[in-house]
Amino acid sequence: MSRARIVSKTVPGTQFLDPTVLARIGNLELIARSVVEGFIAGLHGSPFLGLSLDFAAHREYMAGDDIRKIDWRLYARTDRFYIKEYEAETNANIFFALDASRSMDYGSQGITKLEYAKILAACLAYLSASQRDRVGLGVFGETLTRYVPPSVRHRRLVLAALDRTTPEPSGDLTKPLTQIAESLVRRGIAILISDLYADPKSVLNSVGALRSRGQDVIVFQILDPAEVEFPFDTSRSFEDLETGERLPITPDAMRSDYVSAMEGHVGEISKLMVERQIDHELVLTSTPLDAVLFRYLSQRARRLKGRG
Amino acid sequence: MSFLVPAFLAGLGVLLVPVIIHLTQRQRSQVTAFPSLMFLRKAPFKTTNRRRIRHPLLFFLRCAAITLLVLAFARPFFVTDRGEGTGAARDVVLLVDASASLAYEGRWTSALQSARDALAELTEGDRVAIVQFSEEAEERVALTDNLALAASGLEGLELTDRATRIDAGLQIASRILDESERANREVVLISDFQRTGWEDGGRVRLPDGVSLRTISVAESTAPNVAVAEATLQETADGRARLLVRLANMGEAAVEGLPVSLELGGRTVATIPTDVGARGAATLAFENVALPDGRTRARVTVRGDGLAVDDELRFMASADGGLEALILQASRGRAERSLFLERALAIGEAPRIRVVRRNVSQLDAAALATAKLVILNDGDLSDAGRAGRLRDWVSAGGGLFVVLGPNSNPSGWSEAGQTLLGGEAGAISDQSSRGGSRLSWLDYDHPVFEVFSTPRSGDFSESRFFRFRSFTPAAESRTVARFEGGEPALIEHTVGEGRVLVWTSSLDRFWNDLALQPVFLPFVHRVALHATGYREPDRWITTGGVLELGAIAGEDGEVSGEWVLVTPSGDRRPIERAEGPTWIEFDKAGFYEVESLEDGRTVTVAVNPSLDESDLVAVAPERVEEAVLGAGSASGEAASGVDGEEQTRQAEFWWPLILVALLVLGAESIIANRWTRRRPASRLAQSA
Repeated sequence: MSRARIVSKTVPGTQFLDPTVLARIGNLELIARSVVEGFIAGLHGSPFLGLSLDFAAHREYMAGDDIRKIDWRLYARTDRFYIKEYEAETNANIFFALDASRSMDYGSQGITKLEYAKILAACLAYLSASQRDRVGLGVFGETLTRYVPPSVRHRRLVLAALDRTTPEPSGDLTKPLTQIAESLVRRGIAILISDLYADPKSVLNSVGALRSRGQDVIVFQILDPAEVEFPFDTSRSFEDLETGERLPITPDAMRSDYVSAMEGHVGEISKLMVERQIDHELVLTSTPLDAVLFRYLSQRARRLKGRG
Repeated sequence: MSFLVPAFLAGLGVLLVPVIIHLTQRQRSQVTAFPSLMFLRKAPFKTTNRRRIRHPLLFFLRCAAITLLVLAFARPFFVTDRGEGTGAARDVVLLVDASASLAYEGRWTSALQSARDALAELTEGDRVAIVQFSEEAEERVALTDNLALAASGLEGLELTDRATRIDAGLQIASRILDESERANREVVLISDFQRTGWEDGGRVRLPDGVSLRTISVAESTAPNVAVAEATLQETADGRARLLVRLANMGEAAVEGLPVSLELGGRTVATIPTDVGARGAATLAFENVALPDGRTRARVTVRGDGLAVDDELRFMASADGGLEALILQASRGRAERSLFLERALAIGEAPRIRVVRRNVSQLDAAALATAKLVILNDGDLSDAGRAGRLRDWVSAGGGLFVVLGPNSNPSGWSEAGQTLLGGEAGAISDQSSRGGSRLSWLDYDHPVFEVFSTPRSGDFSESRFFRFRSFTPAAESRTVARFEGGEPALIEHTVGEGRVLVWTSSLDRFWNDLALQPVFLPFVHRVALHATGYREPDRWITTGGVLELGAIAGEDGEVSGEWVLVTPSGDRRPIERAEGPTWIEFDKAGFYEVESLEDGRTVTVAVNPSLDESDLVAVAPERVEEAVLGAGSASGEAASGVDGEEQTRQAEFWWPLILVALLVLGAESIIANRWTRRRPASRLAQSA
């Protein structure tokens, strides 16, 4: 059985940012700024930093170029017009597809999956925007309910849209993800944040819609530790957050079967996505956010490098 | 093995709690929200998994620990010396409440049935005694192992009209079982547990080892209206007003309740009235024409659950009241008795008729009908008049002497001096200092007793400008004094009569007492006390006794044979004894005390105690707690050894505690190990 990659908790140089503490702050922009700036300070000298701001090369001025981009110092030395080219000009669309279905409204650790996903998306959006990436957002449940087109100026819009996101009725991933894929005209990175409670092949087909539109896809599968460990002891009824259905369960008798089924499900998704060159990250809501950011940056660097 | 505190064994019921919860409740009561059920296979509750105990060893250990702890707290002991009578045989006292309140619909039947049931529980070798109680307790069947005899005795119990005293019954039961040598002793108390029957409860303690079982036959609510009291007030026109007080002991108000007055077997009036919930109402039958002599009278209300208090029986008769003869000096102001006369004329219980004459008109005819003579500022220097008055007082008359300015007591004859009860001196003039005041009153004296409570009359407001100095004789009693300590009111007796001497006047001349609010009650109290007036008993309460001579004799003396005719018509000879002959009246109704010698008959009205009308019950548990006391319990009857010996023998409770602790320790270790076996998710481990 294929194993999912698990975001490490022990990234060197990072500090642990407890998600439950961040969830109590309430202001997504403040959270994102705190996380990202703290994270950046912790990663001083990291190869992943400053990608968008670093000088890349000079080229000769051509008619139509913006004269504000002329390097005047070089002109003084060489008496030629050269245009500065920065990595920023190679920035991609970063589009966040956030699953806000009701199953995401579960939390056993003081923070729900949806809250965690919102903070994660906010941090990633803030980080991306600070590196001049164009950021956009699509929030979906049964259908696409919020849409912020990618733009370098849409950081605040994205954060505001995230802030207003509440749990929504659930549905199949295919429809909203197809809608998002059709809206993305430029190639870029699509980041899907979801708990992926669906058949793995169905998930892959849904994500495939993005992939087929030329998007590099990173999938963050958000799960609560209780969904993974199933720590319940006494017999009780479990109520499905999405459907309201109740089932009487004897947890002790079912734990091993449940854990196996969950591992198989995550493993299957991971395996299928690897085969389709889709990055899949399993993130528990107990995982510090900076660890996830670290993972994201490495993914992003790899994607941009591969594209170039 | 037996237990000192077997009540703790009820704690074993705790063992059922987890099982019951496990099998019935938990699934329904606990719902956990979960993101998706796609990985949870359906597992309905009614599967073998749910009904099976997962860890039987843990369950057994926990049950064992609880059992051991419960047993330890019950303080078990082994009885090694089983003497005679310490087997399973029991001594039981059936204590049956037969008070008037048991007549409330169905209670008596229920009480008897409960007693029969308790009797049926007894087995061969058991002994039983039957005690019936109301105000008093009576051992109807002595302790016997003949259960058939006891059953027969049970059927012979009779309801009484008397009040409840639960402790009276318990006292008898306690005595019976205290004399028993058996280990198993029990009191079965069957009652409606009226609160009024337990007001002074808790003084009786059952002997050690005796258990108490209570059986209540009271309903939760019991509406009841009782005729509580009837008061006759004679009016000046020779008629009377009857004031009737009704008490509603129920929780619901009663409206339009017809209240009827019956005199001599004839209904003379019916008045509808309303009575609030747990309240009282007073209504008046006006202009009641009282027949001559003593007549049977009843006030009745519509019947309810308790019939015995729906009727108040009493003897109606014209009291006649008191006649007061005011003797005043022939000289001086004629209106000197105005205030006194007016004050006496006011009031209807009793009505006082006032006759005023000059002292010179005092003769035998004037004294013949008087109960009270008031010598208001009169002179008794005439030996004949003084002697006549002294003789009248000696025969039982009441005299009130007012030493005003014209009384001249120093010149009184010897008979007059005898009536004075002391030596009157000169007039003390207090006007220069603004008058003297009454500074000391004997509030234990019947005249001033009614003024003893705060705001019930202030004599200190009166100013006395003049009064006569007075030196009481040794046998006289001073009951009021002025500021300087001089006597104001003195009492002494002459023969059978009583004399009260007032050392000032009773008009506005020497003092202003007549203008004070206390004047009227003061004069009335003096009049009643001097004459020894007592309102006639119109009825007595069940259980009460009367002395034959007092009710039927002339001058307290009776002769010949007498019979008592009960309300049911039974004729019971009255057994005469040396000294007073007391007659007890058990049932409510009209009794007749009849002389077989001359056919003379005296009727006595008997009513149940109003306490029986209040059907509010006390919790039987309170009775049990009070009777058994702390540290005692019903199960103590299981042992035949005394308390001290039991304590000594009960020492093996501590090994049980020790074993229980060991079991709990083992349970903790095993439980910890087993709970650690839970399979952990590899996903979680790697995360």
